[in-house]
Amino acid sequence: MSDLLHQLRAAAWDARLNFAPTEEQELLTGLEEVLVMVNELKKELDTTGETPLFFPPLPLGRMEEDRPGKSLPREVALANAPDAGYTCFHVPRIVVE
Amino acid sequence: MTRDNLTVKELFCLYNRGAVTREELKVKVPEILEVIDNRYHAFISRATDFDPGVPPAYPCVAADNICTESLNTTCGSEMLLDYRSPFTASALDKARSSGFFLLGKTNLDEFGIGDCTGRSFFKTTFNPLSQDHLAGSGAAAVVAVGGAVAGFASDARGGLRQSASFCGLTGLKPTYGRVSRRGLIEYASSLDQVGVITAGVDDATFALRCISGPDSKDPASQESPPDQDSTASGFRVAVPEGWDRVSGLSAGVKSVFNKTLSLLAELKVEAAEVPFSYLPLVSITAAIIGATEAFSNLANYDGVRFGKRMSGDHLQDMYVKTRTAFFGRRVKEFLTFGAFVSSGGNYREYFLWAQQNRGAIQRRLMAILKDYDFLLLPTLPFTAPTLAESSGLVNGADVYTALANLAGLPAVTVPAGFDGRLPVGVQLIGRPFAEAALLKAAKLLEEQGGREVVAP
Repeated sequence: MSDLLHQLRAAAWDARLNFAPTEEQELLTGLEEVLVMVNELKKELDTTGETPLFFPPLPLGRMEEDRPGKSLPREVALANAPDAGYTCFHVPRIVVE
Repeated sequence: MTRDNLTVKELFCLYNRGAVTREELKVKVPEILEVIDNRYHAFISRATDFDPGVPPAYPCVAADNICTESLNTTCGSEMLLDYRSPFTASALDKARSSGFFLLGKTNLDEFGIGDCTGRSFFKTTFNPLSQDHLAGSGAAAVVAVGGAVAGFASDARGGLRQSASFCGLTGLKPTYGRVSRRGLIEYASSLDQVGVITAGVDDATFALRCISGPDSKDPASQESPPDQDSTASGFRVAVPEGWDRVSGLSAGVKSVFNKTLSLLAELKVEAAEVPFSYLPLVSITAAIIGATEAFSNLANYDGVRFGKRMSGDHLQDMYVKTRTAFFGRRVKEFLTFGAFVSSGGNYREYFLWAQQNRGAIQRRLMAILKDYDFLLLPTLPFTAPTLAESSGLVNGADVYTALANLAGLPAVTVPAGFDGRLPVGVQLIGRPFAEAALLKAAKLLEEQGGREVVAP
């Protein structure tokens, strides 16, 4: 197995997704193309020393005091759950033997 | 024109003047919307109560990734097929209190992730100007046929502006922070902003005023500082160099853009090409950041708290089966790409590189905007794609539009001409919170361009 395929499968696992073999192959091909493009761009335009920007700058900082408020009522929070009891979400067992 | 031929927008206009009764509106509007939906596949859900209340009322639609209490919010995904939000998005609440009346929720790429194809789990929206082509979004199709005054939608990498351009409309992405994102199911929190698609600049100006302002439930939302309109005695436009060397730029788009530059020269507007080397980085940078944020933001669709669920032997098994079954393929590929570029071994190589690109792009744009009032670019390198065209992980549709998202700047597209039957838009990008000046300049371009009116 190629290193890139191994990494792709690890990424799919992190994203909690499965791909059929043909889908996986197509995604791998697309990913290879993107990575080649990135390497070419890095050679053309060097941004190594640039300060990263993780969020658009906001001109006015806006801080607010914490204020107690009403939470979403439990029955409303549970209303969209695919499986819920009176007080909680139902999920399958977590620990796998 | 007889009353039978009136658009929804025209009917509401007459209603506001007292020339159409509430009862007449309640009968005619759903009939017209059904025609629009049958013809263009624009809606995911439509309102059931068409009583607009006391005039004035302005008909609007909202993309189906903006939460509403009154209608389901599916994000165009099977994952959220039956999801009903417990609250309405702040932007729509503000719009409602200004007189906007929600007619329905419109089609979009699943979770807004795509290249503005207007393809969801449910349907593909056809372009009213040419039904062999994509509209980009249901909101654009509805507004294009006079089905609403405004279509509220999100813009993460330029989708709102792209679909407006495909349909010959005005599309405005406000400054990051001008409009609350509470209730927007966004896939990329640092890029996404609620904006508006309208038939013209005046409607966009009105709609923006209605949805702007701080919201205690969105910490990034801002009180808009007073507009620094420096354009009273004319304005200066910068055209980033390399705009005409972008991959996939069509001859038709290039021609319309060059005509726009000639037009500005006739109007004595100073337009100069400025050094800008970063255009080749834009699409890939936005894709890496968008995918990484989507990987995080969409992690909560796992079959526990909302949405659909597949049964599994244990929790992890249920997560994987649910997400694999109910996300569309494009979304699954994008999320996996986001997981890949942000994983431990790749973080510096790709994610951090993208954020460094973003920093460089933002600083260069701000430096240009110190000397110039706006940047001018085509909205897209091409016109609306055909129904058969598809795209990969990065297809370059957002090479011009994503600049504004990466830097948090306001941007507006207006129609500038046609390539055959299909409209071509040009885009202005302005300084932060300078939407008034931006829309004034857009109005000038609009008055020269014009648009084709389409019957529903």
